Amino acid sequence: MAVDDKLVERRLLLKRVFPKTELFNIGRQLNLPYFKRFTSAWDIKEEDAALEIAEAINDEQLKQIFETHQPREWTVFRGQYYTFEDGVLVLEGSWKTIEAGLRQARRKYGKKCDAVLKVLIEAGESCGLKRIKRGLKRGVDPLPILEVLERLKVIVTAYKGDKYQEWEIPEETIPFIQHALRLPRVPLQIAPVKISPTSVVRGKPEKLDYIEEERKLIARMDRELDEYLNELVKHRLEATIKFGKEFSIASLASYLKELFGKILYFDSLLSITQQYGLADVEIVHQHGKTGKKTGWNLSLFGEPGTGKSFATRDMILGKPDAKIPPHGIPGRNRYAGGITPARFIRIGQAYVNRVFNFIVPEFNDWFRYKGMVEPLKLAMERGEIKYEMHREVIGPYRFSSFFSVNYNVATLGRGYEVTVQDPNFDAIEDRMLCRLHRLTKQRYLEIARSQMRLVYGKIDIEKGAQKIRDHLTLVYAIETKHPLVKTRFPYKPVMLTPKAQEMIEKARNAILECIPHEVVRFSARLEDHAIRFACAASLPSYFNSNLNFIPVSEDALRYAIQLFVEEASVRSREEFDPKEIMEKLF
Amino acid sequence: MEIAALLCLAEAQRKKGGILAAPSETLAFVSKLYYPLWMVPWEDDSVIVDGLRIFSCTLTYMKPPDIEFFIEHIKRSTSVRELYRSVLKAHAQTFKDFLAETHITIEGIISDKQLLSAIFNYVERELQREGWDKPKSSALILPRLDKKAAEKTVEKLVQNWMQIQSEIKGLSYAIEVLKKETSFHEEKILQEIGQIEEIYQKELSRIKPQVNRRVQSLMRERDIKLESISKASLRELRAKLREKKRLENELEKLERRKNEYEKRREIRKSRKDEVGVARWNYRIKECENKISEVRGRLQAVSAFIEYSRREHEAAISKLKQDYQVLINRENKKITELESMLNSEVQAKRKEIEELHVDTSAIITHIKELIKRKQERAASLKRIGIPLMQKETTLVYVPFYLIQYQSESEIRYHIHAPAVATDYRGILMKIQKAFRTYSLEARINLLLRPRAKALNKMFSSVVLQRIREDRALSRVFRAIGRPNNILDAAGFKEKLRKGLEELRSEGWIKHDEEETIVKVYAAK
Repeated sequence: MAVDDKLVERRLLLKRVFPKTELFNIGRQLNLPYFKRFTSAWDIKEEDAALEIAEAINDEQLKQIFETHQPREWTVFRGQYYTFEDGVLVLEGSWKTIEAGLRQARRKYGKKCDAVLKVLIEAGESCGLKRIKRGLKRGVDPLPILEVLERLKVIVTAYKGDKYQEWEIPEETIPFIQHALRLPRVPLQIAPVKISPTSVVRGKPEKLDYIEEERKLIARMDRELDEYLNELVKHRLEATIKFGKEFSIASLASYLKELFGKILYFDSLLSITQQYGLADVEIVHQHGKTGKKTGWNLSLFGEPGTGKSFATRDMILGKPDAKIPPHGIPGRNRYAGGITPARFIRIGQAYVNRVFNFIVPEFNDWFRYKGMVEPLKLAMERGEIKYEMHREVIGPYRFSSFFSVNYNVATLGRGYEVTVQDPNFDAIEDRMLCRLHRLTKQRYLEIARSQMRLVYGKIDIEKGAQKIRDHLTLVYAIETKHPLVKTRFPYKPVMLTPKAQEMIEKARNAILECIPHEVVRFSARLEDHAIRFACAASLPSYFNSNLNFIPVSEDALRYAIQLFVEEASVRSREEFDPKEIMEKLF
Repeated sequence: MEIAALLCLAEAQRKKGGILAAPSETLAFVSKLYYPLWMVPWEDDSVIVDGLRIFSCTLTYMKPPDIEFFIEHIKRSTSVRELYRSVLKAHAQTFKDFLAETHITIEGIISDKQLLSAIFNYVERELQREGWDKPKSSALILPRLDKKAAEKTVEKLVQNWMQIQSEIKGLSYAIEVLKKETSFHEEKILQEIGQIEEIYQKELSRIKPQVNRRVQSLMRERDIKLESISKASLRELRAKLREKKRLENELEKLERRKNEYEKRREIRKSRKDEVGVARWNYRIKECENKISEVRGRLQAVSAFIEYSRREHEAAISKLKQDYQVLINRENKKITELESMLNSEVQAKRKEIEELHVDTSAIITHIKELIKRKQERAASLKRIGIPLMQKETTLVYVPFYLIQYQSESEIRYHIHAPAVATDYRGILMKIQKAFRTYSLEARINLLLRPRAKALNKMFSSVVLQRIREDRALSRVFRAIGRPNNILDAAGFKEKLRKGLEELRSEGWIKHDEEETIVKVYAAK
């Protein structure tokens, strides 16, 4: 995985050292497809261009590039793998020098030195004396510390006016300083290459290859997961295992209850549990395999403003503006807002044999296009998709990913009215674990309170989110046999216990008893969803025991039964009260 | 009728010979041939490429200043403001004008606007016309440029256009970088101002209480001194005032006594007591002497009082002044700091202004260059005619080639495609004079070229090239001869019919008809 760090660093180096036009020439010389899209060097984006080149070359080629192309001799780069100083590239890092410098500075200034560096790290940009002082204890003069740190190559002057100076930690040095200060390391992000339509040559418009673009995106998402996992394994593994030994679906629920209240928490619980399920772990029973796996599709529907998008999108992908850190698996969630179903079916080809989660807000928009139910139904069943249009035929291919969607429906006094006119939409719903949201007074109150608590900073999700995300990612990596953890931790299937079967049977009988007529308005798929949910919800207990399987936990089962009963009630137009059945069962 | 008219024209233009004139010519052939033009698609337009490469276009390329060098210079100076300012100064004139102008000739491209418009009209009309007569393949002049070569020729033009577009983007990027850097430096200067203000405010808040304390103590000291001076002075003054009062009282007493003595003297006088008078005179005299003495003393005391009052005031004023100097000196410490702060802030603000002035001067220059480049790009784009097509197409424009031959030379005439004029209108207008016109003038009036530019292309440019280029002349001759209308089947019949029509419409005279029939359509 160090290779990925190296790639990130190589990109940084190229971007810093070569001007736009030179990057263009290098890219053209390397015959990279990205550069063929542009006729003018001025059209390229330096970040994307540097990444494209960095991905395509090795160290030897990098050296050749520095020999044949004129670098900016005035720039300095002191990374983990590369050093560029005085116009000379060395294929060796500078971190040892920086480490020695840091040690020397710490010896002289002790904690004050760390405090100064912490301020610079946290600022995320260059800082002047005033700002640095603000982050230090009273009476600490940072100037001599800064001078020493600069002399020792730990930091650099970012700006110099007449009587004003700013310092910064070079981007390539930040991971080292973060590590040295024991700060949580934020891996350097690589944004996916976006191709601006205006930058494509006029007159000769090149047809965008959506599948190729999507493959690139998948490669980036894979890299994001690898980098995150790499960091986790390097710096937070012990802490995560320790956390995992105490962690379960019940503790996840209480964490969420504490944050959002007794009603709202359930949506986030569902979406995070679905993330655990993405590992698509086999479900077994005492005598063998069941043929089922833990992955399932989630659908939150209901009235607008009931927190559906918050649970499916913001909790999983994070929303920095609202101080919500991501809880989902890094690089495994494909946000599909704003794309058409036709495009989705087209790009779906890139996800063959891969398991990702497609987050689709306003899912009902997809059904404005005629004939979409069938391919989407197949997608939800993980079946073979073939879609024929008058100009092209897509597929056949097998879609193996999952969905987490939300859409608006008009809720009635009992049940709900779907906003999608297609009668087959019921078939889509039947293939998802659905949850109806009504804007009740209690829900409204909890949403309003949560909003206020977030605004006033009374909710601090940061720490909890990081721990849960680490745990989720680690369990996911173990259960998907990721090369980084494959040899350290065993793969464990989820064991469906006889008790689980018994409980589901009991629930089924109780529900059927309460329905006063012969016709049942829901299918047996609900039970299947409940089982899958229970198994996915048991995955957080991976570290709880030394067994070679994960038994379905009681708490997971309870939540699964609750879901089953409630969904059956909603689909039966609330002909029975789920609370009564739950009381009977537990 | 077109053939007949053309033959009339050819015959009229033929040198007939004579005693002094040039040797007479014969009409070797009159052929309808087709000139090759390539229509190469360029975005929504088509560029016309002359298949025979007779035409060419010259592009003016304006070499822009080194944008990359400028941008790198700017970026290098990002972290040091002084450097950035000097870079701005150094590049004040960089974009004032293009570095050089070079002319690039692309052979084959037709760029004459009128000719392009004529070709466009012709091609568009022919495309719309149903049942477009397919020309005989033997009448088509084979292009010297094949399809690939034509496309390559246009590629040069497109490359030039793209280079201009790229340079426009580069210049725009330079503006973007410049704006970004200047606003970055502006932001940093504002931060520097903030820092300066903070430093001064800190110093001021440190000094102000000190100064206030010192001023208070000086004022107290001054007041104490004032009080002590006043006290001493008052003490002295009071004594003198008392003395003055006493002297005034004494004077009053003496005055009263003198009056008393004068009264008594008057009594003695009335009693004619001379001794008594003399005694009171003596006493009065004595009294007057005393009065004079007291007055003198009183004056001295008053003068002293006045003097000491003035002295006292002067001393107080001096003391106050001395202390005011000291107080001012203290206060000055604050005002000096404040004025230093103001002047430093003003200097920084001026620096921002200067940055903006320098930046906008460069940007104005760059924008001017962009404008000129855009104009060039637009003029290149105008080389295309608005005909959108999928692929390169060869189109042919018909023309008539006439070859005259004498003993010593071969001469050509070319006529562009023509449209027959609505003869009635013309004849009505010029009926009287018309008969006096020469045959050539009359036929020229009838056969109006479809477009002047097209006519000019054939009768001037192409003809000139045939005269100069022997190989081309051979090509024309080789294609012209087998396509000779004069040898075509049914020609004589057509000619007679056409001549009849021309005569009946009044374009030719009877004798002219007879002469032409005799020469070219004799049975």
